[in-house]
Amino acid sequence: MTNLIGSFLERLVREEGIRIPPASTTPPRYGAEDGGKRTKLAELLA
Amino acid sequence: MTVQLPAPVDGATLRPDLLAIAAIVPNGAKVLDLGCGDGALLEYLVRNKQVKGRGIEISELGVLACVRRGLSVRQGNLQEGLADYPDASFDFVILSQTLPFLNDPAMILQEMLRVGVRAIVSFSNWGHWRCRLQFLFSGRSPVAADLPQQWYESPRRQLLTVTDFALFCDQIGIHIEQQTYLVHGRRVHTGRFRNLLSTSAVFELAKG
Amino acid sequence: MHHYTVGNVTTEYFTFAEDEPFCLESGASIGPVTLAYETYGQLNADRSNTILISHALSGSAHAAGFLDGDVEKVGWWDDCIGPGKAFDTNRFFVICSNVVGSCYGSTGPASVDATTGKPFGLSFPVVTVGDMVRAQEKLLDYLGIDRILCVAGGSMGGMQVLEWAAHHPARVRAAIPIATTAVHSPMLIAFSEVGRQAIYADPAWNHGAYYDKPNKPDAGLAVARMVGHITYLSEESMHLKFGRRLQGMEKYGYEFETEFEIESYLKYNGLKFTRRFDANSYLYVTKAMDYFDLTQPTGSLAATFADASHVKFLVVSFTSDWLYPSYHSKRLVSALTAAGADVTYLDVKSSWGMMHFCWRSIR
Repeated sequence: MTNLIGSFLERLVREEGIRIPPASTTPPRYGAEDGGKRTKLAELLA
Repeated sequence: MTVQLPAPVDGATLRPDLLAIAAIVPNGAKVLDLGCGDGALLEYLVRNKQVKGRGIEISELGVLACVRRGLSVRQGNLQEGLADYPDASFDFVILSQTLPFLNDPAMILQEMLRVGVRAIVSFSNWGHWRCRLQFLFSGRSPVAADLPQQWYESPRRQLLTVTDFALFCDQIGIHIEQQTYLVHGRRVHTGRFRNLLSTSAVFELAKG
Repeated sequence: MHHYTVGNVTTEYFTFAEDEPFCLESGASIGPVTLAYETYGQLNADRSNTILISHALSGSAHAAGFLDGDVEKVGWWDDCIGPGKAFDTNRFFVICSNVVGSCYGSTGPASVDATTGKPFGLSFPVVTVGDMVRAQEKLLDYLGIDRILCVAGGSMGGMQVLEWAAHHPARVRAAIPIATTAVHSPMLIAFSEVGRQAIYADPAWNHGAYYDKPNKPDAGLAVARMVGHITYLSEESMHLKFGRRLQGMEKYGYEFETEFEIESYLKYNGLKFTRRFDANSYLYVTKAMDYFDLTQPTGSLAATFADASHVKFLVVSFTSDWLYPSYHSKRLVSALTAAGADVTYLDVKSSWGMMHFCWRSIR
């Protein structure tokens, strides 16, 4: 993950020994065409 | 925004002067890296020496790279950053290749030794024989072998030599614990000709 | 552009303080209290993967996905919450709840007072950011979550983040305050007050008793929102986005109709806001922000975070944000560092000011 919040959370998971739920039960779904314009900031954070 | 993931760091890819710094830091130490750049040294220390590391870095790209490496880094200048830490918060405070760019090196060094028990400083040596010859024969400002920048490439830079720095430490009451000398990245024992023969130096410092 | 989503979501409701009233910082108390909330992702076996998202002034519990399957109703932080996004719902259990005092399903001035059978209006007690967080704490108790992995939010959401870290540190492992402050500044109070005065000045406001009237104080609320919108932009962003361009005309009309694009933009946003927000809630929530001051009671911000040295912080500010300028965040970072906390700080270069953070209807 090449992002700010994502990388920070990644470190937390590692350092705090958080177990991620076994497998995500819901496969990722696509949103609507206009489901969200991604701002530069969202790109940076997301 | 496309972002390059920083390459993972190991002993083979870490810059030689950073390796020389890392050699001084014991396992599990608490380390503050001033001007930590993209976090290569800190990551190496965290992975290989299990240090508890923190960094201060001025550039947004540097901080982003550090966060991607999973490091704890603050954006800001060294002076402000150091001031926030209580006395003896760290075992080591590191300043690599930043010394010639400081406005007030005495203040920064003294702050480093307030915040840390020991300080490690690395810098390029303009006392190297090539620099001396360059100045003598071409009449141009010498370019340090390990910091190949022309005089106009950075806003401000002081040329200094190994001898200058040793005298400066003595003058401001800082004790030199150990010194490592490098010639184009290789560690060498240069004896009394260290100022003439080394291209970079790493000094470990303590309060006098 | 296609992107991943948590899909269809529904808002849930949790009610507490039915027997014992909920005591507020002001000394008043209230009960029962309902909180609207949504959750995304899965709680892990030891209940350690919770991320709490705090919303800003005009936000709601609906932070991600499509509300009740309506693709028009996208969550306010859908950009960042979902499978594979910053707050990855494949990995984390994400909770967002509407603050007490707001008007999106949580108890607020528009709620019906059980003792009178009528909406509270101004008889609703004044709440603080501290009260908002203590109400969320009840929700966590109810959901059986002792410690959250991370609490995150911007602006007033960031104030809640800081409130969690300062006053409930044992329940928090990490905190992400974005574009916020530990102390609401006099300038921020000034902007709040202009917004409130606009509402007071609207005859339809009627001292907060307008819920059974045909007209609501929409004009006042719209002006309040227009002032807000100016503060979310920067001078540079207004230049870039609107300039001095005219709206639907070639030259000046020398009259008082809407002429400039910026006027039209503000009017449109002000009006739009009146369709989704309650004027009294605007008064209560802005008041809560005005009271926010984490330097109290000792005067030292570092002292306030003394018990939060284990909390890992990611502090983010924006260079062109003049509502919560970077130095507010830098001051916070200094205090957290002095308190011994692990702080990562980034001042993001931006020219779009708070609109960067206003992804959707964040504020």
